[in-house]
Amino acid sequence: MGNLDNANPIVFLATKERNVLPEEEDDIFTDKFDTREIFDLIRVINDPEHPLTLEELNVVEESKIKVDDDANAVHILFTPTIPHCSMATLIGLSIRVKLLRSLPSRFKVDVQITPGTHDSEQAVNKQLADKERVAAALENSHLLDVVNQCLARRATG
Amino acid sequence: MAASMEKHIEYYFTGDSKDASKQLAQEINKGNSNFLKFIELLGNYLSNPDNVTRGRATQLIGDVLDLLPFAFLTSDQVAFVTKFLLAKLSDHHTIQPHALQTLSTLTNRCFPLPEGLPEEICKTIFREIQNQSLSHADRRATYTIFQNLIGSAKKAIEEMGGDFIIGFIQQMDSEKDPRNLIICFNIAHFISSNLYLGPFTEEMFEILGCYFPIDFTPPLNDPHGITKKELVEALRKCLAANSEFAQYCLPLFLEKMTSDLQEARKDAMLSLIECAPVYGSKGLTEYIGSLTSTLKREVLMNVSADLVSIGKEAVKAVYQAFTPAQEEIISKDNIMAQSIVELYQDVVKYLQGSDVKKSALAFGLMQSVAASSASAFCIVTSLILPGLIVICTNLNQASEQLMFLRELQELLHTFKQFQINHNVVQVVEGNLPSLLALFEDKLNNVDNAEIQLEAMKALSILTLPPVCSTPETAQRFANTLVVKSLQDAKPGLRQQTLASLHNVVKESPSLGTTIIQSLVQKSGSCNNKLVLDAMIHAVIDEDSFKTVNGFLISKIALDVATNNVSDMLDCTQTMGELVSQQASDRTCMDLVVSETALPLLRTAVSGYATWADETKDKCAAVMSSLRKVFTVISCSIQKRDVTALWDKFPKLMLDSDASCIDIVGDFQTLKPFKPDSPWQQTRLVALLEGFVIGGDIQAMIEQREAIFEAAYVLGEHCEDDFTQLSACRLVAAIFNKVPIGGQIHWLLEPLTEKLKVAMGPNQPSSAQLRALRMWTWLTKATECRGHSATGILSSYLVSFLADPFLGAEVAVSLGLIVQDMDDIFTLKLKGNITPLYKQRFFTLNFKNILDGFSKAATREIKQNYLTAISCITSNLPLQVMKPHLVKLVPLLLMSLQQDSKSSLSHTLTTLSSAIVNVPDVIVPSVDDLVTLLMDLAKSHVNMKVRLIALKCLENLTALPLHAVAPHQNNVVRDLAGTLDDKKRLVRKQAVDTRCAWILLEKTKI
Repeated sequence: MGNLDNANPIVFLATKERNVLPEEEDDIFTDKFDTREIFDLIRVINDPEHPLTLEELNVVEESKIKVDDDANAVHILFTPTIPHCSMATLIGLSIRVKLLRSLPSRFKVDVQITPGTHDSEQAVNKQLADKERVAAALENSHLLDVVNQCLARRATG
Repeated sequence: MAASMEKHIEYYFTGDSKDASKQLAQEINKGNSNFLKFIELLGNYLSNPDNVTRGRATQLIGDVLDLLPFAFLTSDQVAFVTKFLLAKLSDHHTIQPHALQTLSTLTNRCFPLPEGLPEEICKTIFREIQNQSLSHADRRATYTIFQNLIGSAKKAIEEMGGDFIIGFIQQMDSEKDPRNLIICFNIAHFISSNLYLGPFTEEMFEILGCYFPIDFTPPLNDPHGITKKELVEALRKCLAANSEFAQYCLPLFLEKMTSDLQEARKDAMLSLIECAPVYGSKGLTEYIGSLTSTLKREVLMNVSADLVSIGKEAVKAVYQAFTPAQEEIISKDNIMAQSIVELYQDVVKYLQGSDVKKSALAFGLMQSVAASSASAFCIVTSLILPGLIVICTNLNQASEQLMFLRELQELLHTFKQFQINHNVVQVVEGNLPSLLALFEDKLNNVDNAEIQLEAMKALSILTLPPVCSTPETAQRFANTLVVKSLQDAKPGLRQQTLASLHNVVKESPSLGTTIIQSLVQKSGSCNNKLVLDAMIHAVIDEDSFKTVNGFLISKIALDVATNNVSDMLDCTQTMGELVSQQASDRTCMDLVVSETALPLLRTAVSGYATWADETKDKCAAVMSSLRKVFTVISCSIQKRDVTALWDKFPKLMLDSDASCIDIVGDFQTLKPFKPDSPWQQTRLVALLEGFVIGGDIQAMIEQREAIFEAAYVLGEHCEDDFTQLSACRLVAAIFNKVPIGGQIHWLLEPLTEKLKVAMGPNQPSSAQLRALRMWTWLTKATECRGHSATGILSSYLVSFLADPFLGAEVAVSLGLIVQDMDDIFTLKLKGNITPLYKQRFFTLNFKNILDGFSKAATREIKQNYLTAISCITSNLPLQVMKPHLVKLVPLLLMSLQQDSKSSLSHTLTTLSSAIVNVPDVIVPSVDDLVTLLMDLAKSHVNMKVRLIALKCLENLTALPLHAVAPHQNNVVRDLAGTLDDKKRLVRKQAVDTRCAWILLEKTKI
C-alpha cells in the first residue's frame, strides 16, 4: 500500500440511530424522503483509505444535503478531508453508486464537492455529473470492486 | 501374555505407536504386576545404544501411563520410574524431551509421590534442564511438572522455598509462548502469594514485569483458544499477589500510565485498581502524589468515556487503600488528607466553571475521591460542595445546569452509602440550607422535566432524616409532590414524583394521613386517575391502606349508584394496583377479605341492575378489572381466608342467598349461573372466575363440583359472549388445578360426550361455536397440567380442522393452546403447569395435522390446516420445530400464498429464523420462496408484512451461492420498486436487502 494522502485525519463522533416515531409505524401515514434519510444512506459508506466512515471523517454532513421529494431532486455536497485528496472522485463515485442502488429511479441526484474545499473541484464535479463517465467507470471491474468495498458493511467488508 | 506384550512393544517402534500403546495399557490394566513385566520387556530398548530408540522407549512409558487409571502404580514403582527418568535427564540431549514429557504425565497420573521425590524432581530439572534451549512443547512439559507438583506436593514445594523460586525464575526466563505463559503465570501467582519471596522479590517482579502490558493478538482460527484477556488477567493476578511488589510495580504503572498508547494506559490503570487494595497505604504512600496527578491528567484529558471512567475508578481504588481501619476524624496532616487537598488545589481552577466540560470532569474526579471512604467524603465535600452549589445556582442554560446537578446528585448518592457515619451527615448538614434552597428553586421554578427530576431525587434524600430532622421541610416537599403528582407530566418525571412521594411517607409516616386527606379533598376537582395513582403511592401501612381502601370502596359504590362508568373503571383498576402493591404486607392482606373483597362483591351484586344494554361493553371492562382484583386477592391471602370467601360463592350464586354477604333486599331472582338469566347477572361469574384463577384450589372445597357443573352448563348455553368466555375459563381453571383423583376428573368424560354432541353437525351454529370454545379451554387446561386425557382432547380438536364450518375457528383455537398467557395458568397464580407442554402438544399433533392436510379435499379445508400450522408455530421456539422443519417449510410456504391476514407476519417471522438457523432445509424451496417474498414485499397492504418479507429476502443472501445466484438479477431489479415504499422503515430495509443482493458474490468470495 502506498502512502496515505491524509495519514492522520480528525475523527468525528457518529450520530445515533434515528428514533422511530409512532406515525412511522402507522400504515396510514406516508413518510416523505427527508435529509436525514439520505444522510443515513451515505453516512455509513467506508472511506477508501481509513477504516472509518464518511460521517466519522466529516466528509458528509446532514446540513449539506438537500432533498425535495415532490420535485424528485437530491443535492449533496461532500467535503474531502484535505484539499489535494486524490480520493475525492472515488468518494463521490461511491456516494453516487450508493444512491443509485438505494433511491427510487425517479430522483435526480447531484453530487458535488463543497465549494472551495478541493484543488480540482471543477474537474471532479464535472466527472461526477457525467452520467456516461459514471456508467463507464462501473464497467471497470477493478474500480467496481473498490467501490463495493466502500459500500460493504463494515462487518463483512 | 508376555509374548503379546512384546509384540505390542515391537509394533510401537515399527508401526502405529498410538494403537500399540493403547493395547499395552489394556494388557497392563489387567494386573499391577504386568507393569513390571512391561518395564522388563522394554529393558533392551531403554538401554539401546541408538539414541532415537532410547528416546522413544522413554516416551512409551509416558504414553502408557497416560492411558492407565489414576494412581495405578504403587509408590515403589513410582519412585523407581521417577528416578530412572531423572537419570535420563542427564542422558543424551535428544532423550531429555521424552523424559520430560513422561515425567509430566507421571506427576499428573501418579500420587501421592513418595517423600523427598518432589524435591528431587525439582532439583534435577533445575540442574539438568536448560529450558530456553527446548521447543515450546517440551518447555510446557517442564512447567506442567511444576504445576502438577504444586497441586500434589504443595508442602514439599513450600519447604523448598527460595530454591524453588530461583529455579523456576531461571526456567521461565524469556518464555514467549502464550500457551506456556498462562501456566507460568499460574505458577508465579502461587509462588508470590504462598512463598516468602525475601531476597528474590525483585527477580520475581522482573520476570513478570517484562510482560506488562500484554500485547497479543491470537492468530486466526487459533485451536488453542488463548485470548489476550486471559493472559492480561493472569498477569494482573500475579502482580496483585504480593504487597512487596508495590515498590517495583507502581513505578512501572506510572510509566505506562503516561504512555501514548491508550491500551497501555488502560491496562495500567486496571492493574492499579486490582493491586491497590493489596499494596495498601504502606505500599502506595510513596507514590500517591504522582499516581493521583497522573490519573487526574487522564480524566481531564477526556480522551474517551471508557478511559475517563477507568481513571476515576483507579483514583477511587487508590484512596480506598488509605481508608483508616476505624472511621474517625482524620487529622489534617494525614497523608490521605494532604493528598486530597493537593489534588483539590490542582483542579480548583477548573472547578470555577468557566470551561463547563472541564469543570464537570474535575467534579467527577473529586466525586470518585469522595466515593472511596467516609473520611475522604468529609474532606472532599467540605472543599467542593459550596462551590458546586454556587455554580448550579448561577448557570442559566438548561443543559449545563443539568450537567452540574447530576454531579451534585452523584455526590448525594455517595452520601447515602456513608450516611450511617455521623461526620458525613454533619458535613452535608452544614450545607443544608443552601442545598434546599437550590433544589426547591429548581423543582418549583424551572420548566424542564429533567432538571425537576434531578431536584426531586435530591430532595428525597435531603428532606428526610438523617440529614434533615425538621418535619416542616419534609412537609413542604410533600406538598410540592402532591401538587406535582396531580399534573400530567412526562412518564419519567411522574414515576419519580410518585416514587418520591412513597419514599417521603415511608420515612415520615406522620405525613401519610395529611397527604391522603389532601388528595381525597382534591379528588372531586382534579383528574380522577392522577389523584388515585398518587393516593395509592401514599399507602405504606395498615392504617393508610384502610383509609385509601375505604375511600375507593365508597367511591365505587357511589359511581355504581350514579352510573359513572369511566370513574368506576379508574377506581377498580386502582384497587387492583393497591392490592398488588400491598400483597406482601401480611397485616393488610388479613384485612383484604372483609375490607375489600366482600364490599366489592356487595357493590357488584346490589348494583347489577343498573347496567343498561348500551353500556354492555363498559360493563365488560369493569368486570374484567374487578376480576383482576379478585385474582390478586385470592393469590395473596392466606388459605383460611380463601376458604372463608369461597364458601360464600355457592350460597350467593347457586342458592341466591345474598344475606351471606350481608346485603339486605330481595335477591331471589339472582341466578348468575342460569344460562337464561339476564347478562347483568351472569357476568358476575367473572368475579368467581378471577378468584379461582388466583387462589389455591385445596382451600376451595365446599360445593366445588356443583360450581364446576354449573359453570359448564353456563358455558355451553349462555348467549352472552363475555359470560360464556368467563365460564369456559372458570371450568378450565378448576380442572387445571384440582388434584389428581378428584371427583371432577370423573366428570370429564360425560362432559366431553355432551360437547361432542353440541359440536355435532345438526346443532345450531352458535351452540357449536360455544362448545368449541369450551373444548379449547378444557384442552388448554389439560395440556398445561399434562393430564392423561389431553391426547384425546387435542386430537379430536385437530380432527375438526376438516369441518367446513368450524375448521377456521379450530385453526385459531389451536394457536391459543400453545400461547403463553399471563392472567391464567401461570405458576404465580398457582396453576398446574408441566414444563415443555407446548413441545409435547406440537410433537403429538403435528403428524395428524400433516396427514389431515394431505387428505383435505377442498382448498378451504387445506387453508384451515395451514392457518393452524401458522398459529401454532408462531408460539413455539424454533428449537422445537427444528426436527420437523423439512416437512414444515413447504407448508409454511403454502400458507404464505393464502390470503390469511392474521397469521402472515407470524409465518414470516418463523420463516425468517428458519432461513438463518437451518439453511439446508430452505435451499430446496428457495425458488418458490423468492417469488412469494417478492410479491409480499412489493404489494402487501400491511407494512409489517412488507418489512418482514424484505428481512427474509435479506436473510436469503446467507444461503449457499449456487442456490441464490440465479435469482440475483431478478431480485435486484424487482426490489427497485420497494425503494419507493411509502413507509420509511420499509424503505430502509429495502435498501439493506437490495445492497445485500447486489453484493452477493462479493461477500461470498
